[in-house]
Amino acid sequence: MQGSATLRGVVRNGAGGALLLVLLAGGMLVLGAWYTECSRFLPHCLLHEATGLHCSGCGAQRAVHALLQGDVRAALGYNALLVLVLPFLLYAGVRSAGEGWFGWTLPRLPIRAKVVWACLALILLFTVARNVPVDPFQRLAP
Amino acid sequence: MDTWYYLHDGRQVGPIPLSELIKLAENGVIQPWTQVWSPGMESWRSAGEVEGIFPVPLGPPAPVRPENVPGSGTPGAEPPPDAPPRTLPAMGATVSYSHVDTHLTKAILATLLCCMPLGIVAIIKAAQAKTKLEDGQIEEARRLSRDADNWGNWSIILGLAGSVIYLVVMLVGGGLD
Repeated sequence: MQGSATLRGVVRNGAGGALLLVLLAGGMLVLGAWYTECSRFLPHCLLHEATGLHCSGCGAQRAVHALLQGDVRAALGYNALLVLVLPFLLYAGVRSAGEGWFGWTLPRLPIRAKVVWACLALILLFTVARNVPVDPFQRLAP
Repeated sequence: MDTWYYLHDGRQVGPIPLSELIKLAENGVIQPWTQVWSPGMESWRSAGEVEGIFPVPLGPPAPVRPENVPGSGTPGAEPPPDAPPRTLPAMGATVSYSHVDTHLTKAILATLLCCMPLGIVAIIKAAQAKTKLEDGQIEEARRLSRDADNWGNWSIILGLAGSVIYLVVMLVGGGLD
């Protein structure tokens, strides 16, 4: 019964979902990194397909792909915001998974409510800005 | 090791020495169900369970939220409704006031990698939960944090479903162009 209890713990910690996502995305990106013919089979942003607008996530896949190939400049060009928050996301993911699975007690990121609201504002501003077809802003588009 | 923290109205107070904590317990500021923590402890515990704060260690207090403790036995003295929940996650080596997980990581991950509109809702819920938490409204924070969790999950599920549908269309149709 140890196993099922652990599994419940993993699901409750929410780390399972996040890890699944990371694994899936990672798998696709690894495919993309080695087989460029496959890249047209990588899922496109449905919002972009439907409306032609760039959402905050557009270019994220290509940005991670570029990062995996060590091209930070290209990654910044695809999705600068993702590159910016990726270290924090990675740390939070490792902390959460480590706590849920191995009982690590890494310190939490001391994020106050103000910071969360600022993040929200930043994401919305970023989304609007990258859809403005004027030079300083359109560089944020993928 | 003589450094202690306690939760008062959802806020973390401290560091204070044990002698101060005992004084507060005598004055009734700290109750047996008040959550306390000291570096070296794995997680927050009820003051009544920690030896040395109250003259006689009291047994574990009755759970405030029975659904957190499956199959809980007969409860003892009922703590008042404003008592903080008994089961708190481990705080880690560094003290942090955020003992209600707001699932912010998932929300941002969902927004930047998956289905943006639902992810934005998740971030809003997470921000509200944090705000409530800092105001000391723990129950409200917990409710909003569950919302953030759900919106984040749905965002990810929708994003993955969209990807799978796209992949199937590409494989079967040989491309959209």
